[in-house]
Amino acid sequence: MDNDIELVEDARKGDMAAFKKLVLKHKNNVYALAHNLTRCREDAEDVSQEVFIKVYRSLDRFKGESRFSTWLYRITLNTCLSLRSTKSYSAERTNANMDEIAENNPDLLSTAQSDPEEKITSVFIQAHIEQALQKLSQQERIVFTMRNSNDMSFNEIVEILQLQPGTVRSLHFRALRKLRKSLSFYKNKS
Amino acid sequence: MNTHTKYEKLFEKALNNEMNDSELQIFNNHLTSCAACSEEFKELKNTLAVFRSVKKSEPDTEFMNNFWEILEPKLSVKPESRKAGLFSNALVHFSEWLQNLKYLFQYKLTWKYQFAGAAVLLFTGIIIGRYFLSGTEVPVRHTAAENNVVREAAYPLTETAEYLERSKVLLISMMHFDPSEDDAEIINLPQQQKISKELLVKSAALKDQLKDEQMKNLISDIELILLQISNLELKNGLSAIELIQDGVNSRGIILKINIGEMKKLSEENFETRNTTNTGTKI
Repeated sequence: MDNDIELVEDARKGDMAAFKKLVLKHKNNVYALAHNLTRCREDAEDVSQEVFIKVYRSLDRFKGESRFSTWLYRITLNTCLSLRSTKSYSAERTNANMDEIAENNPDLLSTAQSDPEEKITSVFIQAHIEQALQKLSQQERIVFTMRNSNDMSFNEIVEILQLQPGTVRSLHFRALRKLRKSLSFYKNKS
Repeated sequence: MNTHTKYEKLFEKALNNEMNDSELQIFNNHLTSCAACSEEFKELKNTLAVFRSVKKSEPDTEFMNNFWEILEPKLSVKPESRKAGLFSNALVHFSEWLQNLKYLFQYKLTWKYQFAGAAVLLFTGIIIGRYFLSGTEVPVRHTAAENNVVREAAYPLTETAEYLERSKVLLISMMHFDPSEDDAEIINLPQQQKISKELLVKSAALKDQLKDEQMKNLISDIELILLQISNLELKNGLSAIELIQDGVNSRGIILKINIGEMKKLSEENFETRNTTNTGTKI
């Protein structure tokens, strides 16, 4: 009964319990994708809520031609991009410093890492990665993030972005090569 | 030291563990013999490791635990009521269309298409600016001396208006004539030719008086068509009318006349405002 298509069908008929199941099943992945694309906890929370509101209002538009999750992630991506365009996001993130990174990712300094030096290093690497990501094109950043932060397969990314498989792979490899230059400092540390 | 392009293509496969045994063996053999490829592959692998090693940010537990409770009140519009409302449906479709459009621009279109789109927008802006906005300056209170200058610079408005109106009527009647269905008598060609000749005389006079290059160009375009109508002989067949119709269409003359009339109107308004402001008739 927890099949997405059946849940969507029931939700379309007004079954709120079915829609709730869909939300609870996918909220973590939607949040994770939103967080990895916006790089900000607060934005990720706003986006993930907005995504499910959009989904609820567009249930009739879901034809079942792709997987529900693909459709959901596509909406998530578009919502993130809309947010980006309204918040002059790029400039904001380019200037991200260690304090902002720590503020947006409080768990980086949580008790999970007991060694204070390790905590600082973690925040430092994170800040460096943020800066390195800003040097990528938008498409490269999205593909690289989906692949390496959200652990999506290339096939999933191809479906979500509706690009050619070769294009997605090429964007990913190009991104990796650019990041290699930016993150070469860490080459002997991991 | 450069890497080998042939093996570079295998980097990605190797990094994603997508190589079969034979490919892997060839690749590893190459890495042992090529320092450049070996170094680059090591660095790429390392970059991925660094990126993935960073602890992923965990969501706020309270937010995730109350996700549904926060969301539910926001879902105010129910699917049933949406089905009932045509307007709401149209709104949903429109927002979806906008979303798709945006998606299209972000992923599907290359810079060439985006550049072409920008060029079209720019061109449209220029057309609107030149034809619609050029006569809408903020009214300025002129002195009597200044009014004389304004009067000299303005079109012979009445004559131009009459000329444009008569040309439009003539051209529209020509455009409405369908050689395949209508009888040649309907168009009353001798009468049309008489009007054309009258208008041709006015064309020459107006072009001498006008200072606005756009309006002069428009009159030249109209003049050409009028000349064709004047020299039209039905013995050459009704297809001659089709040639005129093509000429009017290809030059967009009726559209230009409409724009010209709007421009003239805006200048008339401008003059009227000046008259009101100064109490002097221009």
